[in-house]
Amino acid sequence: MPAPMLEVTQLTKAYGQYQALADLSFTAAAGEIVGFVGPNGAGKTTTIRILATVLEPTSGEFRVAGIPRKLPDEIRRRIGVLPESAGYPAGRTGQEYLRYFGRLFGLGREAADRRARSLLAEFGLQDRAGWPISTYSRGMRQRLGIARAVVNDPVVVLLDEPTLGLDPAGQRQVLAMVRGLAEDRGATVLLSTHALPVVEEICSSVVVLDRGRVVSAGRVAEVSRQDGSHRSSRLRVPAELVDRARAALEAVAGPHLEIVADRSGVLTVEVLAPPQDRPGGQTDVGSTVLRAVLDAGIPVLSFDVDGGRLSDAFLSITTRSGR
Amino acid sequence: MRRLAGALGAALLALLAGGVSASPAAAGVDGIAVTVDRTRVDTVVGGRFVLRTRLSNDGDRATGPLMAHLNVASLTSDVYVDPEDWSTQRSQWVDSLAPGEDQQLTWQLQAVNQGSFDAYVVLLPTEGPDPGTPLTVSRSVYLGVAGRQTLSASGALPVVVVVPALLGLLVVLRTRARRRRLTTT
Amino acid sequence: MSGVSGGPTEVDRVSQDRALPDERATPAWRVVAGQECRDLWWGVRGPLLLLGLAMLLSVITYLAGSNQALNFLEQRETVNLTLQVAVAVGVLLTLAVSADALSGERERGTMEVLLTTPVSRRDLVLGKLVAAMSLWFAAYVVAVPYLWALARGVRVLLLALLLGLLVGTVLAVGLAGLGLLVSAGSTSNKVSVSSSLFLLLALFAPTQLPSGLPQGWFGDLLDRVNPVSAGLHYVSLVLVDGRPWAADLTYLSAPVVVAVLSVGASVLTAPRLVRLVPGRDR
Repeated sequence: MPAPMLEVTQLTKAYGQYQALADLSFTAAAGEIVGFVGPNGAGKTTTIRILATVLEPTSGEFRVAGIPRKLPDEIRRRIGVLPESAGYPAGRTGQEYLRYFGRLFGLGREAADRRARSLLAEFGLQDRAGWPISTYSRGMRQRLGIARAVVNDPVVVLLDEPTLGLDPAGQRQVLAMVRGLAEDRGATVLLSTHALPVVEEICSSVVVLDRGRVVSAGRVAEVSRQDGSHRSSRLRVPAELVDRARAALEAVAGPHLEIVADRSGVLTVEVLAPPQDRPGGQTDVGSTVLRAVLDAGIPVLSFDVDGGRLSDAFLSITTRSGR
Repeated sequence: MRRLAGALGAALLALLAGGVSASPAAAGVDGIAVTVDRTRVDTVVGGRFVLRTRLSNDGDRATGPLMAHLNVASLTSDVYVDPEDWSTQRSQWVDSLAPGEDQQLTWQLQAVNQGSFDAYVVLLPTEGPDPGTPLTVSRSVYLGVAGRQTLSASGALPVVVVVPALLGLLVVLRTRARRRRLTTT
Repeated sequence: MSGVSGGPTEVDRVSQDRALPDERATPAWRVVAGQECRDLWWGVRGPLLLLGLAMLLSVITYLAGSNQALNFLEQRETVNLTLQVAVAVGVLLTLAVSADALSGERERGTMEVLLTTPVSRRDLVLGKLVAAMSLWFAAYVVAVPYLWALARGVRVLLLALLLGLLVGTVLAVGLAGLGLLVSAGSTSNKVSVSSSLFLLLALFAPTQLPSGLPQGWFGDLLDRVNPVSAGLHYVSLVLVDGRPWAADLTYLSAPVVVAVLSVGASVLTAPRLVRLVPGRDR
């Protein structure tokens, strides 16, 4: 198994009495997109800044591409960062901006120029290359920021709220670029965000922070299923098969599920009890319901889940942690 | 006011000169004499020069503390003189002079006006007024200050105009270039 | 570079393949200085500041030439006055730019991304100091034609130019370092620039007293300890009074000491100065 690209062990950051981070530990493999979620003040930005070597932790260790934190210059060569509140020099053009950072990362003048042109084209900014950044829209600036974050072809990219303030189209664009970083460039991406649908859409794993501590971590699907946040499933079958579907569901349902069917072929399965009260601590109600109907040879025309999303799990987890 | 000051200065000089002997030194009561190293200075506006005065106690008893005070007076009524412009150190103090002792005082001056002037040093006792005692004053030093124009406005005009004009043009060009980039869509 | 278990790993190979070359085509401080100078001079800011200086020098030169208000000044003194104004304004501009160096990055939100690059904090500081100094050299170049115009006929031009370059450069270095130190500790650009200008005012104020500095040892001490008044006094002694260069070199002690200490402190303590939030532990 390849060594992780990002390895964080017992990371702690305290400002006097205030504990911003406490014993944070997680890993991320190459090409993985890890979602970093939590309420305001959870410690996401602090974590990003520590991993970016802008802040020093109070204790703990982390490695980026195998390089320990005591070699910050080496880490900086291999990471790209888009801070949440990144500003841009208004008078510089996009081309000048990227060229400058290319040179700061050690490229010669011409190489930096070529890299800048290539990145501007890759991120859809080639038409505005010669324009002052002050003329760029918010979405364009975010794209420019991501382009700058990869000017050194990093192995780990740290993105703090890359979709903040963007319209839906802009968000889609940025998310597609973030996905590209992992899939096309093979970079490990740590994506800190409030937007849980974003995490569900592109992240393979998620770390949920609350008040500086990890309250949940794992694959997105696993975390989403935690705490029995699934409330109900709705499926539609051909009207003439609704009774057979109901029978198939009743065969697997227990007292924790209520099945309601109507003559139009829609069946609703309500979850009545939390996982600890279900037989076997069952969490994946949705797939149980779907499998039961399909195994009975009944075609499913549509399937919908109410609850069971990451946002539901997030609220439940953070509420339970005492917020 | 200026004319009155000039006139009073001239009158004072005349009064004192009447009581002075023909020797270069001017002596008053107490046997103190004040001599100046020269009688005339010719210079130009802005020119700096030094006057040296010597205080001599020709009497038979020590003096009390004294103050030597420099004054400059215009000999024409159309020039206003502010002595503070001519010298920043117009007063110098002497603790006392023993019989036969003398002391040199140096005065730095700069001619700030064009014209004809007289400079002189008057000795003032610092311990209580003595109504009957006339003041001791040096003879006057004639100052002839010629006008000077080393630089004409027309000579400096090219630089005065061209340098800011060039820089202003540069500012305008840079501003226009930026605006063009910002407004073109 | 070995991974956790020792020996090169896939992580090492991937990261080394992608790490940009350590050998820089250009030293990092020069890259920083180059960009800062471009921002200053290719934009409007630098030329606008010089335009202000040129207009001031034009007024002084015209008044000297037309014999109004400055009629009592001997030509050497006219040259001296103009040189002192050029030096004073030049170092003021240098101070203002260096006071923006770090606090300005923080205020514009551009500090954080700079800190994530492999450029050392020392290179950042050095690059910004060099860019601030470009203001002084540009101001000096602007002053040259004025000094040439005023010094005609008295053969003091070369002396004035050399004195101005020597003393002005030492003063500019010192004040650039001081401005950067102030900028490092300031929470905002407004605080940084106003603190720096107040500092300059405090240094200039004693020289502007109506009767000059107080007489006696205290006045002399004040004159020598204050780098600005000491430097300008030295210029006057050589240019106007005609004293030999070496006769009053002690007046240059304070400017040199301030220059060495301020720049030395800026560069040596750069890792502590260049932070996301001033004063906050990393």
